[in-house]
Amino acid sequence: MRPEVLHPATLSDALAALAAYGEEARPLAGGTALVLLLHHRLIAPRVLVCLEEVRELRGLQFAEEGIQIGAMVRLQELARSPQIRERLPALALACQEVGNIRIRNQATLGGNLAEADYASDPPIALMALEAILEVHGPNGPREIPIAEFFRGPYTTALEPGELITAVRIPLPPPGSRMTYLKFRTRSAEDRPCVGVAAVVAFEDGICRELRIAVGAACETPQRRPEVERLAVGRPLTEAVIQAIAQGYADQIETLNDLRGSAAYRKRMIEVHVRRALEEVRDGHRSFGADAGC
Amino acid sequence: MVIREAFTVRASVERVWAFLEDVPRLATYVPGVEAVEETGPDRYRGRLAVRIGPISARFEGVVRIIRREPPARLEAEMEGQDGASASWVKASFLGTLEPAAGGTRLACEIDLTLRGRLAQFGSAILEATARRMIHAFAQRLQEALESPHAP
Amino acid sequence: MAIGRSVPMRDAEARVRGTVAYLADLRLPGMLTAKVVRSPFPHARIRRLDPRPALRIPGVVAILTAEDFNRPGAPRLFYGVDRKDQPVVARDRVRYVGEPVAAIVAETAEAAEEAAQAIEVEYEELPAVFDPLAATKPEAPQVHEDCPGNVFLHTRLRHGDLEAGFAAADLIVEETYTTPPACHVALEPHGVIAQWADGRLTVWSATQAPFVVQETLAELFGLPREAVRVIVPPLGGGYGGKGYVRLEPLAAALAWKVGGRPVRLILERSEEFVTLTRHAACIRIRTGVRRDGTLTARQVEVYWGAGAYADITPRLLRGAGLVRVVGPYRIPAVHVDAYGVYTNLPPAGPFRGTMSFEGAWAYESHMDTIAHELGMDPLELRRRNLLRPGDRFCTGEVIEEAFFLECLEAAVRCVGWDQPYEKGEGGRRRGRGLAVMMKSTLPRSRSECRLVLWADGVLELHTGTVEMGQGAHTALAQIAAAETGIPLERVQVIGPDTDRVPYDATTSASRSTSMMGTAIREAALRLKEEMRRRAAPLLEADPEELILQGTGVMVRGRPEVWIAWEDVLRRHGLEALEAHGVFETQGGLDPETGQGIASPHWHQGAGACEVEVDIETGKVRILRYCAAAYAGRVINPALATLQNEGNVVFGLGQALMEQILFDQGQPVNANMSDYQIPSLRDLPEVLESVLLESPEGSIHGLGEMTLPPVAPAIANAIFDAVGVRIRDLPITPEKIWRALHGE
Repeated sequence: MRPEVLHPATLSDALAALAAYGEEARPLAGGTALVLLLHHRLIAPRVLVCLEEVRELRGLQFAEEGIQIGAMVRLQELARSPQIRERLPALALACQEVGNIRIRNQATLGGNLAEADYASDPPIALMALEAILEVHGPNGPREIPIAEFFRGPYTTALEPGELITAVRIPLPPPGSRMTYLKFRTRSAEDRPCVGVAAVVAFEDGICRELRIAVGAACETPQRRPEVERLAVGRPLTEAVIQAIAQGYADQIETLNDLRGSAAYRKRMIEVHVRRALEEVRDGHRSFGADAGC
Repeated sequence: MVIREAFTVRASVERVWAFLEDVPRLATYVPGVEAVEETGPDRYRGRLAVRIGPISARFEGVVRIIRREPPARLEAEMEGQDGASASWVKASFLGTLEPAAGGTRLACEIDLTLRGRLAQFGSAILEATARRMIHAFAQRLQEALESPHAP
Repeated sequence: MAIGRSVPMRDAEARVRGTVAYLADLRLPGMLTAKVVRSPFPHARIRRLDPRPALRIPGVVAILTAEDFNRPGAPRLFYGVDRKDQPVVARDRVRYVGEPVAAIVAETAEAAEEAAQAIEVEYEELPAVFDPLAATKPEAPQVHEDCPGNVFLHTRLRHGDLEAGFAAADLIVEETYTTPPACHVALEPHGVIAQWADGRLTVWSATQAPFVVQETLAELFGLPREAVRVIVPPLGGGYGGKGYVRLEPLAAALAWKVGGRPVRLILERSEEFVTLTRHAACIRIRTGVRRDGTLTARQVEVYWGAGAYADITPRLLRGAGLVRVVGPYRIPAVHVDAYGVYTNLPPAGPFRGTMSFEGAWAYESHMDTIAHELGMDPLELRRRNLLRPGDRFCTGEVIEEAFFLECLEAAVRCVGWDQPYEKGEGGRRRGRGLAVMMKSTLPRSRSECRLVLWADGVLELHTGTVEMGQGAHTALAQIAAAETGIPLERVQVIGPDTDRVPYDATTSASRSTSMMGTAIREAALRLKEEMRRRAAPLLEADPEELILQGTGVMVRGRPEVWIAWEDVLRRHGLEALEAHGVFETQGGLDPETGQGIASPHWHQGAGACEVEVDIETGKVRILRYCAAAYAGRVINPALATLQNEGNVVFGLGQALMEQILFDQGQPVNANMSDYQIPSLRDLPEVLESVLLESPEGSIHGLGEMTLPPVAPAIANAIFDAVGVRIRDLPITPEKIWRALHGE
């Protein structure tokens, strides 16, 4: 049976619809993941609550303390936004690396997070950026730090009837440099085999804060604060970088899939954590000519 | 796909064995098992609900114990079908017990084959789901065996 | 002149705008939808099949099972090219995951879908075998009762004294190469509409072989050929996957069961992966060579994993499977043993570059191993051994047109082979590689066409050649225009429709431009002859005195005595003038010795590339690729270049990423996210295309020639860069990394 599609215009209508239909309803954002599941008949909801027209889920807001991204903002908009590229280049890079332009023009940030595909780029960048997810549900609004959001592959902390409404990203500390590295093993449109986001705050060449998130190689995006701390108060020397890269490779439990074995991924984590840190140490990654492709 | 897991339980080999052999009770420790009944010697019928990410499936099927070497080795076979997703699961289970420091080391080897529409979902997720279920099972089993109120 | 001009492909704009009417766009009154119920097991006995619960679902019209084929007047259940081993729907036993066990016809797709789930089937699983080599072992499960050992055909090529050849060698190199099953991934899936009316069957099918479909259906239903009409809309790609017969028997049987209403069957993407695959091949190759690089003997043993049904493999093994695995070399002694092997995987069949891809992967990688062992430049080794005009191939044929070396030299020029080369240091190493191949086309086949000149000056070309995006109709129209002198814009292409166009064997093996083109030339000659004969009385001259001038006829030496073609027709009271053209090739090999005529002419292509390997990750970047093919004569440079470049892109996918993965026979990547094909961003940074022509050259097809060299050229470049030899496709970063790091 084809599901009925509802088009609420406000957040409260959308939440009411989700509450009314319970398990039989699914929210529909960009649809790049959900429609595939429908098409393969892996899910069969009675109702789809389309979020396209919900005003509260739109738009980017820039403020002193951070950036707020509406859940329905498209990945392509984030990849192209001059402010995001300027202030949060790791996020712009991660969004730019997703699939192809047809997918990026359709997929939304909120949908991407709610799907919680382990092999996805934006969550890894958001993990390093310490994003906070604003969530509304039957019991009102709440905030979920991204580190507590992913519970497993395709599994999140969202309760039934809850929607991600926005993603808030505190501005990184002054003197921060950041990047996102995507490692693919097959086509240029493939999902990552390993993704690494790095945010490092420097003061006079000394690392004040370092955040590394690794994903796609494991069930959820991961950070290892005890490994990150190895860098704090030190310059990012080869030895420090190597210790961090090694630490991440050792401590992350990797998985097997069509993009690479668990053993290979361990070593790829090491290589790409190292490369991400070298890149950050040596300056921002520039946006290439194919940024719009 | 073959999944291997091993863990140590603070209980004697004999006790763990007795636990393993009692399939209907053992099944209550497997997350998602809804009902298990004995249909004959070493034959059981049951239902298992699993959630693989956004997908829910309910497998109905049978379990057969095909070989037992008390108190060291148990082999079983399982087969089930989920009508809604037109999927079939088949698994062989090999459990080996050996004394270990402070208790018993239980090693499980599960060879799992999934067929039908769910198999399209990607082996990494299926493996992760199966692994999670085994972990949860191991944990519940440990708790049960180590609890002072254990039978 | 219409030949040699880059006119745009006729339906290019319509294809880009999405206005081409593909099969899926056809809507017939009263049309029903079909859905296939497929086996979830790779090998099982069907214990019970009960369609009754499905029949009770509203909207379900009919359900086809093997039972239906027992009814009086029923079609035959089994079909196949040589071995009629494949049932339209399974009876008693299934042999691969995805095999049709029943099919449903319903008013709506939803009803069909619901019914597919409601059908009750009980299976008893049987032991299964998936690897072609393992399938030949004595303990292997038997896929077909009548085929112990699972080898359904063993063909041989015997040329020269092998023992003496190896005895004369200074060095003998032996290696094993494999290629996995792959999916064609045409953007348009397989689809058929079938309808019965007044004892006649009409089939609209996205097929590359309308006349083969016609013949097969006529045979299955016990009808004369004329009682079956096959109409082919423009295809959205084929790549061999739509060659021979695919869904047509099933769709026709469904239509037969429901009576008069048309039945439409279109596959979902996931079903494409279990409908036809590339062969899983295991190739053992052993070569004797003298220290100076002269090849003395070659022995090739190929296990062609054909899947659960033989399909077209037996026919391929009598030619392609033998001669496409040897290489374009002068070797005094050659033995080839080709085995067609059943496994419990989906059937395998034609795949762009059929068997040349697998062959070249083995023999061109192997040639570099030999060069390395000899300490010889890979180009030099080939230079010494490549076939030259007048040389005898291992089939005994004398090769007249031989431009292998020219192709190879053109390709290597672009990577500066003779220049000193810097491989780089540190984490990224560069290397260069080359490969060359020879491919037979169909040895024995026929193409016919009809040219119809209408009184208003329009020339119709009636042809069975299928337009599948390769631009065949454009190229053929150009040939018709050039051969008749009629302006290209007045040439219309009609077909394929078996009721309207004369016979053509198939659109495959890069044969159409060459074979159909020759038939068109033949028809044009006859048309002009007929025109002269008709014009002679009107101009009061002998036909011999007349010459054709533009679209008119004149008397030689007297340009003022001229008559337009239209006027010739009008004055004879003719609506149209017709001429038929036929081109047929004869050949074939002795199945015991492989001696005879393998091909009327030989396809020739080469590639050279420069790659960069990231030694920390094993990832390969193709910096530069040059594809050079022997074209003989280019009809349309722009389309020819596109075909040539398309070969490389297609080949890159096969080389680096494409493989259907099975877990106990269950495909686990049957979707476009898990099965990856190259995107535009995977193209080499520099991609060059060279098309060689020769003044006396005949027209050669171009749809495959430079595809088989891609994988070995890349593998050879990787070896050059980092010393790692990959022998099992695809060449993934992890394989390179494991070889580099000894894991």
